[in-house]
Amino acid sequence: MKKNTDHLIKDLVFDLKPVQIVKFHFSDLLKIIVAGLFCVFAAVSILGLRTDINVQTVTTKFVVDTLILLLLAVLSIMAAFSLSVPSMNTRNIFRFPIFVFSLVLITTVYSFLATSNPFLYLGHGFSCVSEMIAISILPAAILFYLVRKAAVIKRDLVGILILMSGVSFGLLGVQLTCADSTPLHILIWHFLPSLVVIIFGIWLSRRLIKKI
Amino acid sequence: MVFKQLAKKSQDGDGAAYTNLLQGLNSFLKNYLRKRIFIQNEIDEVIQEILLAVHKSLHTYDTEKSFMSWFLAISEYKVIDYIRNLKKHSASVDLNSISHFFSAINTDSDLKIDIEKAINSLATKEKNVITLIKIDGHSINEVAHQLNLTEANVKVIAHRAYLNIKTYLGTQT
Repeated sequence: MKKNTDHLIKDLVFDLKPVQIVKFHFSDLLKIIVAGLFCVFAAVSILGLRTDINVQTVTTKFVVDTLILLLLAVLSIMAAFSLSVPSMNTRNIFRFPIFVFSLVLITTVYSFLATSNPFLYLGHGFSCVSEMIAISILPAAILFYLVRKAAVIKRDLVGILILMSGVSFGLLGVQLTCADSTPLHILIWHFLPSLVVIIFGIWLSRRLIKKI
Repeated sequence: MVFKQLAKKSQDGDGAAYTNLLQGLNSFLKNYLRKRIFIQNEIDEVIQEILLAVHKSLHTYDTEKSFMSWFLAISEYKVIDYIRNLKKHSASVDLNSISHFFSAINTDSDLKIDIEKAINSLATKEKNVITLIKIDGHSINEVAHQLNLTEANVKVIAHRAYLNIKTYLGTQT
């Protein structure tokens, strides 16, 4: 058995070439944020801002929701970068974006349940879902491209984080264009599809990211 | 020389430093894995998987950061992967029950035809591995060298092939 490992070492040394170090910089994070915001602005310019935007922008909830979605996007991108490079120090970093997303989801469910007279009209939500997915594609694709160059250990988790960052931009875009603020609509047509897309990240990562 | 410096030189393409690094890691891993893997024969296989992963990930090591943090993350991942594979295969495949199909090839002509069909239905990689091991009688080590794969890979492919053959024969009966 010793001979086999020695043989492998010889093969690996023979295969050695000078390597270009893969490091993620602030500029990579900016690239994805710019791409995400570009998609949001593109969606807004095609679909138009929601009719009640003037009323919404002065409400605390709207501002907080927007900031949380931006924070979620940044945290997910940073966590995906961190998990793409092997390290014992950053292996739990994924907890932050997942915590924020869970918090947003729980708050949405709670606000739905707390509504004394829930408005049970679902509305036309497919446009929200398709808009959210369309906005998600570019930032998620760039992130997949960057992460593939590294050495991903937790593929499933990285896939989840990549789509979570894309979905954050998608939800931001939908928030700016969809005027339906009923808790049921937001839950069924905004957050549940985003959850499905995020879980789809596991499948996608297994196909797009190589195992080391 | 410490691992960190050896890794830095290896990234620049220094073969001697890389040999020292891999040999050092090999020695380190033997002690490290002895506490985690109780099947002694398997330790060398896991070490090889880890060294291969180190080779594939060398470009991600940031020399300003701790080498051991980087290296242990890879090792931990490979050990977990190994344990997961072991559990999966021990739960789903009874190697002895599968092997009797192959020993029966020479005695039962109907079974021989079925097994030949089952082998032909496999993916090329699986077909090559099974043919080399079970028909031509090569060892796993020889097959690994011949197909340019690691021994662990050959075993995994063989396991998958056994499962597919089992499923194929199950649907034929």
